[in-house]
Amino acid sequence: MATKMIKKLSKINNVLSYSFFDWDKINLVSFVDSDGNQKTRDGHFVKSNIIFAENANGKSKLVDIFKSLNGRDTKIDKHRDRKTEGQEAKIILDDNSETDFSETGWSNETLKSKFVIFDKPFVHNFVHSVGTEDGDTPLRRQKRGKNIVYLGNFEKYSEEIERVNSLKSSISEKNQLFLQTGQAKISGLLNGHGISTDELVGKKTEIQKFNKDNLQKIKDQFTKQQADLAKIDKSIKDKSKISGLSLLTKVKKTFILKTEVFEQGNKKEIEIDPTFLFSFTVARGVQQTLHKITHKKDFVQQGLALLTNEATDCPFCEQKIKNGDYVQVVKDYQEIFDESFANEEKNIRTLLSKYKNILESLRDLQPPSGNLNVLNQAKPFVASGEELPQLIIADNEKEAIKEEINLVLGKDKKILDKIEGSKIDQIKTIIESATSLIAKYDEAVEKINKEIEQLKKDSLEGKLDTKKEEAQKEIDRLKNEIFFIENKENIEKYFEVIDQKDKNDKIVEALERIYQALKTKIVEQFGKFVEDYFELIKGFVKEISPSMEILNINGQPTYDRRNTQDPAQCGFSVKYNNEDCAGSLSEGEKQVIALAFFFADLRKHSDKNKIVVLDDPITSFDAGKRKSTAELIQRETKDFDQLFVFTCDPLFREYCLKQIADERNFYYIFKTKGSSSIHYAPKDKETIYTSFETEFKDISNVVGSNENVVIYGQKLRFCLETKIKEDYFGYSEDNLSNMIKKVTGRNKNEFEKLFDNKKIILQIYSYCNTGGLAHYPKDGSTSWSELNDKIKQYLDLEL
Amino acid sequence: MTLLELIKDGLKEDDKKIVSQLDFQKSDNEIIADMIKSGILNFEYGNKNDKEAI
Repeated sequence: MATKMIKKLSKINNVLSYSFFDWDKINLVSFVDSDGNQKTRDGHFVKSNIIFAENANGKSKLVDIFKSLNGRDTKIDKHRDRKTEGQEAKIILDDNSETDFSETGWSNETLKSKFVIFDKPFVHNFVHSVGTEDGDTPLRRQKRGKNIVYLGNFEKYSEEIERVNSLKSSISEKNQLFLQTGQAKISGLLNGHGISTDELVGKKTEIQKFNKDNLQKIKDQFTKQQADLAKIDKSIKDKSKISGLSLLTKVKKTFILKTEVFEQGNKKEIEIDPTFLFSFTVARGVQQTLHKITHKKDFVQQGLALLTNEATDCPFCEQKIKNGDYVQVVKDYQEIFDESFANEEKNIRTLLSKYKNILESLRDLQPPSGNLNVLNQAKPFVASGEELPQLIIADNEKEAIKEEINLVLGKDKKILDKIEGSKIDQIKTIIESATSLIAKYDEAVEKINKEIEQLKKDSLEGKLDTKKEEAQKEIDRLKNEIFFIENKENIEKYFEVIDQKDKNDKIVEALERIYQALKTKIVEQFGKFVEDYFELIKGFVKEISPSMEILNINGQPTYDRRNTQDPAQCGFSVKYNNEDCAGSLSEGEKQVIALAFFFADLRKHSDKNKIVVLDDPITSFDAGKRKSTAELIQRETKDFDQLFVFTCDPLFREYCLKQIADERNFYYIFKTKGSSSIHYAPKDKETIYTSFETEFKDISNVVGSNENVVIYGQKLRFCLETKIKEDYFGYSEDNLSNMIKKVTGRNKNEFEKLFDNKKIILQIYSYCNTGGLAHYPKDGSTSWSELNDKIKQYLDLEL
Repeated sequence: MTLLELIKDGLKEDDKKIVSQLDFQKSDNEIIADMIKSGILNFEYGNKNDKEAI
């Protein structure tokens, strides 16, 4: 940034205490130089500017305007009496460019970040003294360390760390309460169920899989398991009876409508087909004949044996056989009575018999007689509770079987009679059903037998106690499962709490990481700060206040609150006359440290294109510190673009005027008609009252306006008061010996002026304070004339 | 620059989101309320029909 200075504050209207201020109206003066030339001067700001003002005249308000230019606030308060009126300000820079202010803010940012300002807020913001106090607690000591002084941003940094830590604790506590509330609700539910919240959480995945639709099934299992446990208990008690238990018998019956036959010497499996069997027959005539000879088969066969091709007579009737007429008849009879027919009949009968047997077996189907008894003996001990299924043929089915048997019997009796009405289809269905029943029955028997065998084995091997334990465990598991299903909704809510608590904990963990990072960073920053600033600060402190010493705690930055013995943080210790005083720093001591830090910061500023502003840097300083401060200001600010030193202290003003001599102007801020105004004091009239007295002598050339009545009235009061204080009593001297020297330097006659004119002096002073000068006079001409009289009286006193 | 701003770049993305919530002009309770509002924290028990803030 190029060198840039403020030339003048050309106009300030309705901005803070500057109700109406026009630079040129106050400071533009026309004069004739020693060569007789007419000249003007406006007393604009130069490189170094000392501005003096008594309190409440507008000194700090001007600093506030600088701060606004620096970028702090775009809005500046209006004058308290002109809240509804508009605002304006015009700043002229040394290149004659302008920066204007209106209610919308500054017209440009030319002076943004241009200022480096030392004022009370600087002290307040950057110097913090924390040490022991009456209400000190171990916690406070742990938190703040021992006597410590924070400089720069380290108080704010520490506050940030505190806030993160405190927020972390708040969230953690809130989260704990959140969990506890959730636990309280679920504990009420778990109470008496023998399960802890931790165990509940351990079963989360399992519980989430439970389905309410299975509740009844699980309840049934639970009931059965309880019954089983009772049986195991009984088995343990009646051990002797276990060995005597028998096994059940299986039915093992099959109803297969298939059988094996020999056909042409080969074994062949055929299906018994009652329809076919029942239809086995011969021609009706043959049938009748066969009936007739049914008991004389042997006779017929012997006769037929005698019948040959050569035979001419019938062997039975002994009549002549006519070839062609009877031979075929005889042959036919031969076929009936031949071996194959006999075999076929025999087969039919065999198959009928087999069929009958199947039917009878089917009809008589029933479970083994002893099974029920055996089962009843085992039941009190066998856990499964398996029941034997019903194994009976229904009555209507029995009737159908009976009818079919009758058909078989009828056929057997009259083998060549065709029988109609077989119920083979129904029989097949009955067989199928019976087969299925038998399979189920035998399966049940097998299961029961296995259990009986297992029970006997377990009893023999002494495993029943283990079985009991297992059963009890299963009961417990089922009991829990029922409980979990019945309360699943509430339990899931609790799981949500746990999940949410974990998520919240993640935020606490994140804050812990941030907290640790902050602690690391503050130490790092402090190390850098110490490296950059500490020696400079130490040196400046010594220069401003030789009795004071600022010390680096432990020689290195630390930030560990767990170290209760020496919980030093990123700050400094301060000694005054070798006494530790960091915990009880006075305002003056704080100001020394702040100023030392400010100068160190100026020294470190790489950009010297800044305007340095110091607003009353010495308010709490004694004379010695005032002098050293003025010297330091001169030395440390000379490389910067511009300097403004504001003070209400006459002594410090004098030191600054003496110390900062080159390229320096002096101003005073004065309040007239309720508005602050900046007045330039020429070099040869830098004692303000000398400057004013010059103006008083030339008052005949001044317009007697209402405004000037107030301005000159206040100047008169200031001259009277300040002259007596500073000139007679030496208030501007830096120490008592100088004050005495100054007072004794005046002769008694000069002091007698004060005593002799006491009455007039007090009258003028009283007029200045009460003569309506703080407001516009009602009659300007009368008041201007009165004021002129008072000014004449003052000049005549020649104080 | 605040200390938080100084450390922010070195933090994990998730932690940066937390840092953005840390407005120390506000009290702890106000910050927590903001975090709840933005869904970072939740202290509500039960489902939507049965929520009880703790």
